[in-house]
Amino acid sequence: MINKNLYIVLLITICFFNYQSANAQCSANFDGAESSCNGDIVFGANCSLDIPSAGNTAHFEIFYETNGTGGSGIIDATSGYTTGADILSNLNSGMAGEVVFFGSPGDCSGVTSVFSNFSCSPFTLDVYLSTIEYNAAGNPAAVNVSCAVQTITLMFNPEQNSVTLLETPGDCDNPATAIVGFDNGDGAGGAADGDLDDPEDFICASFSSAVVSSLPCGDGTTNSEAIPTVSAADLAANVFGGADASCYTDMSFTANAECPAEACPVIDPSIPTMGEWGLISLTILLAIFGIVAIKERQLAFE
Amino acid sequence: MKNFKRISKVIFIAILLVGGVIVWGQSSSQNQVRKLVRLANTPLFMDANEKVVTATLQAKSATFINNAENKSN
Repeated sequence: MINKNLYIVLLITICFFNYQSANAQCSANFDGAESSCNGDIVFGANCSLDIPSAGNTAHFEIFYETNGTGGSGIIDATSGYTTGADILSNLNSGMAGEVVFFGSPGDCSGVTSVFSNFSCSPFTLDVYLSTIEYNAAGNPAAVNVSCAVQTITLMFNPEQNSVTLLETPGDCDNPATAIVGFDNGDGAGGAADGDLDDPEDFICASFSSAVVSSLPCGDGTTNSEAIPTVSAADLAANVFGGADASCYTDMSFTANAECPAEACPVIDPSIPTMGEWGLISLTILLAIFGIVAIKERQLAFE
Repeated sequence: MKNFKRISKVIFIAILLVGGVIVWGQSSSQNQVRKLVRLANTPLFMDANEKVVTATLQAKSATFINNAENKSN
């Protein structure tokens, strides 16, 4: 009887540990996850997701640490959470060190950050990267508490494809100009309004063409000066405050300074040309020599 | 006279429909304008429609944890 009870206890223990390994282990592999130019996370080729619970779908998710004053009070991840259990116990806690997350999760093809840097300097933010499961309805449902959490630095370079370019053509007196900046609103909490003079807007740099001249004179054509193209290296170093040059392409402009070439003055036919003046001079010179020569002959006969 | 009334009704309804479509088109195009919210104390901006996810997540191994707690008790 005792042996039989021991056998049952042993069987239960084996089942228990099998159950534990099936539920608590984590198979996720971040494989060198790193930030892209715009705060998105890119995984290595050997990235793998955790095995999801039945009916769920496994993902990766970015968790932002806050100062506990609300969702917009994002700070660098400084609490040092290392497991899914840490994330779970500090999720939306309403205290300093709480974690929150925005948007949708990603898989091994990458996780897209919902934040964008629409200013003139690069910005970094440390965040937690953790596994998460979504249920069949597409809602966040579970965190594997045994999965490791990785702290990763998101790099947000100013986004070139969101730049607002205000270009002004030039004329005979003014060069063409281009202002590079970010239009982030209308100054009253509304959407972008197409200018760069609101408090939330950023002006990064301005460029201009050479002053165009009406000369040389011509037959009605227009003299033109373009704003020089800004190379990706110059853009990163001098416009975007030392951002990563590999995140940019050369920036060109369309506005030109244009000035119609003035008509060349009409030639007065009564005024001899330089060639005619030369002929006249030569004629006079020849006449002088001729007269002098004739006079010398007359003296010889005397 | 009857035809005139019918035609008037049809024209009136058509004008209402066209007006409705124009108003709807304007409001939908306004929704496409980028509206941003700035993250406090950072130069980061996000779409105004993005919100903090406040779902109550469960521990994946909750069943196991509960079982373990029950056994220890």
